[in-house]
Amino acid sequence: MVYYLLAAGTFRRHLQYRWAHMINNLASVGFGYIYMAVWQAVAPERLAAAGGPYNHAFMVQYIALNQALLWVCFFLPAGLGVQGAIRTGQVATDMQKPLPYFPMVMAREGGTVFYHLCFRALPMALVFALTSGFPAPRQPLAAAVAVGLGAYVALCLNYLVGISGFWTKEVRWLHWLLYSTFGINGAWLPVDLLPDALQPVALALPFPVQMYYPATVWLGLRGPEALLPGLAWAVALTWICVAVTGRGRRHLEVQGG
Amino acid sequence: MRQGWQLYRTLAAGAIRARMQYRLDFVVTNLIYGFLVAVDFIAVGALLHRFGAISGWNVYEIALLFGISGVAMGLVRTFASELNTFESYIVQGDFDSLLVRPWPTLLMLLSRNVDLGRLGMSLQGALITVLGLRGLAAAGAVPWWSLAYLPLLCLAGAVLFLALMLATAALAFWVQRIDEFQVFTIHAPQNAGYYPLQIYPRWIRLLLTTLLPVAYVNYIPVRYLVGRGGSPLDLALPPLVAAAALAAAYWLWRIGEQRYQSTGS
Repeated sequence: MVYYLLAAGTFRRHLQYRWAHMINNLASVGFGYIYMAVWQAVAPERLAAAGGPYNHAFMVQYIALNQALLWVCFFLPAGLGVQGAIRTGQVATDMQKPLPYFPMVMAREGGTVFYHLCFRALPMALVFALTSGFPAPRQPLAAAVAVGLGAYVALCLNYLVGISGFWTKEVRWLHWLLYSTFGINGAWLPVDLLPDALQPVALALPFPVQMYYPATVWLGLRGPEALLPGLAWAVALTWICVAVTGRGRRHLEVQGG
Repeated sequence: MRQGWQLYRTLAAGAIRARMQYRLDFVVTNLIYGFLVAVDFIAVGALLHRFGAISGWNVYEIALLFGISGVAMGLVRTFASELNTFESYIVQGDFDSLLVRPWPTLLMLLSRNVDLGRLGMSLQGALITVLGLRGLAAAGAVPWWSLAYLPLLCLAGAVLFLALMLATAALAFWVQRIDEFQVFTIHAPQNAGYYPLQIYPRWIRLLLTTLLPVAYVNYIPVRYLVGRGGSPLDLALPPLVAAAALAAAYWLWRIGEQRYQSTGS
């Protein structure tokens, strides 16, 4: 219940800025059009030669879907704000509360994800549906789970960036590194179209779980078995986050005054 | 004019000295910004690796578009970094402190900070430009004097981006918050400029050659350089368009400044 209240509080806080976010959504749709135009400019016979489902029409659907999902599974608040709490010392108060810290932050930022789903992904999907088309999920249940796993993994990765603030003042370096995975997570370039040498590397990392797997499940290219990498990473990252939080707690120094 | 330049140099040198107190930060920030530009290009390179061309443009030609834009934007983000965060001056009323000095507000604003960490973007952009140029030169696809022309083009591009940034910042005098507008007027057009203009629908092409003329930063002159149409005149246009855009942007800034109302307490 308390987790629900935390999430709802974040949701309400974001709600105040929804009109500014709508302007940003339009710009984000514009970025989608740029990527669509790039794919339309690739020679159709080369696209067909790549094998798989790829053609111009398919790529429009792929980009529209992922551009909307970016806000659920990729663009989350840097470090989930944990680094700020560490800098101000707020984290000490938070850790004294009768709630474990990691789930508390995850619930709070879960509200952000839900807000992004309602006021970013959904409006963008609508604009795409009216202009370029937006794909309906081929396997709604599996697609929902895949997107949920993607969002969860994204939250964990951002949490790790934030919690690194216990050991370094330069959290933004890690944040940028996380941000730079945009090219290999399948957001606009499907992972199986990466150069052969890069593919196994990308697939061994958690990043495709954020965009590539949800998109392929949504579009019906893969069955529910494609949920397994996401599940595995969710479990592994949860364990890592909890372990790192424990180390950080022992590292915590409260300065009195 | 000369005094203004001296003042700028003194203040900017102070800002740089302050920044250089954190040497490791300076080095790593540059590396990371360079890395981000490189990663952007690697993704497009991966696409080109598999599909050969984007609307007929090969990887070297796209590298020129990418690199020139990167150098230009890196310069602007270095020397005009305060314009990028100008919203806070209006929202928090800090603009007052610029108005009480006996110098143009823009000069005061720009001399506040020189974000040397962004030079990494320019360096990486230069590297990508050189790689593209080398590939094209090996095939005899660009004239030899490109090497002399491209640095000038990068400067013109920087002035053009500066104009866009200044005009967007000036909007803040009317609408206060501009962070969301910057995506429209700067980030999205810059990204669109990474690819040949002809791939876009008509209305986007029109927008990027008139109101947000980023096509003059790279596409229009490069198209002529690599022999894909256009006229020799296209090589002279970027500095002219950039100068006109900057004049227009500064005019907008001056009008906006008159309207400035400080925040209440």
